[in-house]
Amino acid sequence: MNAPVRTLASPYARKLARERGIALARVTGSGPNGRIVAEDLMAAPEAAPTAPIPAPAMAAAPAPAVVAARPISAFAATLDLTPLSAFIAASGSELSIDAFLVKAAARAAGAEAEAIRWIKPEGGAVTIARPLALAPTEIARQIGGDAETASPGGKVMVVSRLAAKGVRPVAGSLPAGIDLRVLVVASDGSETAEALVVHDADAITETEAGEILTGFRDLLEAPLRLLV
Amino acid sequence: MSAQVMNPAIRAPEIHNPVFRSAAGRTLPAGLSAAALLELYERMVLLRRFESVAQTACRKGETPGFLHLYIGEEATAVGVCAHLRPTDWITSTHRGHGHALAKGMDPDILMAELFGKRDGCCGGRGGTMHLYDRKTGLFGTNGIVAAGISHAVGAGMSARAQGKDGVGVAFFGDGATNHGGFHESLNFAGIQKAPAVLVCENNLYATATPLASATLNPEIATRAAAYGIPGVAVDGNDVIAVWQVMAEATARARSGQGPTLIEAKTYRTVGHHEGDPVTGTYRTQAEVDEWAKRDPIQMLRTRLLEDFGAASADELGAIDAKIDGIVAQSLEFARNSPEPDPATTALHVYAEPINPADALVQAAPTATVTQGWLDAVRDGIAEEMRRNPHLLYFGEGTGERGGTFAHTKNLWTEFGPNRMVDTPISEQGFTGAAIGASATGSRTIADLMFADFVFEAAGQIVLQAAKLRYMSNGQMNAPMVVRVGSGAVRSAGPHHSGTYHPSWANIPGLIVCMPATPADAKGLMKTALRAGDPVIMLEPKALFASKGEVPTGEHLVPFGLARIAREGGDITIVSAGQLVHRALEAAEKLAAEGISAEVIDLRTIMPLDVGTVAKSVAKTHRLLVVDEGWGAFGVGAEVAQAMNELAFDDLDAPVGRLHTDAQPHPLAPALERAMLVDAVKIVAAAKGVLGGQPPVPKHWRYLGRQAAPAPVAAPAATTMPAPVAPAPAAPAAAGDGEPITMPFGDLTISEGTIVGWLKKEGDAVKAGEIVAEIETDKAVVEIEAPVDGILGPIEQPKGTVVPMGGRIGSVRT
Repeated sequence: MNAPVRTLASPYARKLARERGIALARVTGSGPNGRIVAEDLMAAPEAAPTAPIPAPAMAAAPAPAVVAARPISAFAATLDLTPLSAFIAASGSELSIDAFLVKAAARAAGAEAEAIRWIKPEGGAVTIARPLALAPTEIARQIGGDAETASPGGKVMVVSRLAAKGVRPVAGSLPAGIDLRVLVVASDGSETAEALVVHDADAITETEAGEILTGFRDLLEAPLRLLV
Repeated sequence: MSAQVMNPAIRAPEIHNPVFRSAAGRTLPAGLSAAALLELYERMVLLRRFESVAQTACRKGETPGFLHLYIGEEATAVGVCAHLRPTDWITSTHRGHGHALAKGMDPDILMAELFGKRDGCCGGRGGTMHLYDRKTGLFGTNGIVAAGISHAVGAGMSARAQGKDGVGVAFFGDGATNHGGFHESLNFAGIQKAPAVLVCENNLYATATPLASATLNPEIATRAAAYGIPGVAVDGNDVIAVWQVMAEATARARSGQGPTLIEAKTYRTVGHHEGDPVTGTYRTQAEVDEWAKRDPIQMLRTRLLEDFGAASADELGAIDAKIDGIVAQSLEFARNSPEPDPATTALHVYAEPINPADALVQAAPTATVTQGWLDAVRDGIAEEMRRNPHLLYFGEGTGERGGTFAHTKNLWTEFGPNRMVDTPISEQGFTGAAIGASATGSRTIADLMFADFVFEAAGQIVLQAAKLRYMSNGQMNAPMVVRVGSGAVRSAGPHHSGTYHPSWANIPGLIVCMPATPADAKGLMKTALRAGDPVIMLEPKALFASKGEVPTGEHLVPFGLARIAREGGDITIVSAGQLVHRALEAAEKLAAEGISAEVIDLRTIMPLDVGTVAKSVAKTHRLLVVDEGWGAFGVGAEVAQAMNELAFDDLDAPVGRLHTDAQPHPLAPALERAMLVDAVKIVAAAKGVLGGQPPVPKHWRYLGRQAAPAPVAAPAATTMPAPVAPAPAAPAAAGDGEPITMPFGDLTISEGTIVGWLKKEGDAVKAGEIVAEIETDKAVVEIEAPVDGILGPIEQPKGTVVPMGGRIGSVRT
């Protein structure tokens, strides 16, 4: 009788195999003692009947309803706001989450957001130039201001927050000349938020948009990172 | 008749100084009224009856842990504390219930604490030997002999720094007087003229060791002479006498005349602890009986009735009955108090949140300036000292001399000797004082010079500072910074090269910082000086001569936030301190071979930012931990296990670790190079991890077969870690004569600026004659002619920055 042969594989290789529906037994390992490593899976054929793997915490939203003939795409994610609330409380400041949303959006979008237009819930907008260089206190001061500032030029990202409970964003319009938008739905004091990234797929690929959304979520869920 | 004579086993010591006793007869000492005497009586009865009830409860098994009773010594605590205000601080011993009550603690919360109950003065966290009460000024009973003496000295200095006339009073036993904590604290208190009173309760035995068999000078009061302070011996069972000597000692302390040592000769008429026999093997029943005749409460009672006529027997009986009621109530209170909620057991280890609020508010970005490490940190300390007038700096040579590494240059001039406190080489004593001051309204830096020397103060740091918040149930904390130069640098040798950060990070309650850049060193120091917990600040000596961009504005770096020093995608290298720079060099070499390494600078070892590491591993899937500490039970093990717990499915290879070899640091450069981590070793280890076979350390020293040798390159002679030294300026024209060079000097200095040439080219010079001056961060160095001859050519003109060993000119013979 043959004892079952144990397949040597790194934890990451096993994870990749699970996700791609690849049988490890069919893969030749190139690592020490024949251990299967991630690289070995890159060449392996995917098994025919693969179950669709749901992307964790991120699902494609339905395409926006009525927009001009632009290739618009959108992704949504749920954010845990408790670390941010704890962080704001620990800092002893009275800031709302809005300044941090702007800061995180700017950081996540990188070169895609040379300026951020903050749409006020009561109407009107404030454009914040070079938000990456600003502290949250300064962002809060600017978005609390009245004047509609002139657009500084460069790529502008639109950020807004809808203070509503129990609703999720599924589509958002993209104003003319804007390629990227983040819409957050969170009531004041809420422990979670729903975020929707809307983008022009000609200007920003879906992969990039997905990274912007995960980056946005990761920053808000580890807010100390916003300080460096 | 002296006490010692009663014990047949012990030779009666020669008494060099008289024992102070109160005057016989009807005369009351000045300042003491009949009413005040009755208060002393009532307080002594409280101490006695409380202990009797606690003793019974202990015998019934109602009090968890040990119990050391104060029975027989009541006159000392009561006579001393009668002079103290709630804002004065006392420190006490393992036998401290009497001190707590004499200082004014509510008997209810004291009894409940002995029972380990929720309503106890420390919520059941401390118990009998760890009683704290901020309201009444009790800075702890203590399980460690002599540990509280330095705290009282620091508490007194803290009051003085705050412009108050409060005093710190230490109670300790005769056993403590042979402990370094006594010697260091009394000496430091003396030289500082600290507002402190040091009260030794000489009950003749350190547990079971007779004083006379532990020292050839059992007259403790006479030891004060060794420190140049007054010492007085008093009959510790005569409350009036204790009151009198304490009146004088307190007045001296409050008026700035300095500390006094009081030796109160007394006796415990119970065993060392409950369950210990009254006589044991070390004393006789006859001796105990003889002392019982001099019972302090009976002695006062007799004098109240017979000498002073201050009260009738009935009136004293009424006091006794009142106290019985109070103590009975305290027992009831303790029994009825609930057990502490087990869900709260982890509270009060660190400040919550661990970072000060200021470190979590991002300042507006400011311009930066290129600054050396020591200047950057020094500026940060100066900023904090200006901001907080109650910030004190204790260190050896850090005052007027400006520090061994020139790291406190100019601070003494600005802040004066009362804040830049020059200390004797008494690490335990002044670190304890720093803890005492920091817990009582000041903040302190204890500068211990080298990381190796921290062990001299380890008991104070680990057993006192780190546990203070917890033991006191969050009432007290020790916001002090232990500042040291750490790590290997140019053959500093076995006692000046260590880092030891894993040892300190292992202690709950301590924060451990190990910055790698001048900006982080300044930012972490400023955060540490606003934080709520003791911080071990390890500044790598090898980086003292390094320079970097430092923000000119307010700059605080939060604890527990790693820095991505270089981004990469193939492997993550985690490091801290000076090895961050070696890891960056290795990353550069790996890049040349097409391998992209991400380098993470942990910045703080505790808290440990494993989240950032896990996030990086999710990208690179491979991890190498590089750390200057020894590997056994170290940072590599901790981070690797964290990845097992947080990022298992992301690992494509076992985590590797590379540490300084597990051995002392040798002097010989060849031996030292072989044991230290360098870029070549990091490259080899990184390739090992990439190939699925990380290096295997040998530090377990287990007896089985050793694992396969790790793929580690032999250390190359060219990779000695060295501080960043500027490239020498191109020489003007090298002469062919005997070279004149900038001499090698201090380990932490790497360069100097030529202040000027004292001789001209063509001048005749003699060997040893001063020809030039070079200024380093620490001093002006005179450069001598190496031989007799004619100076020239001068290769580096005035104003040039030259590295150590660099050539500046020559002398033709």
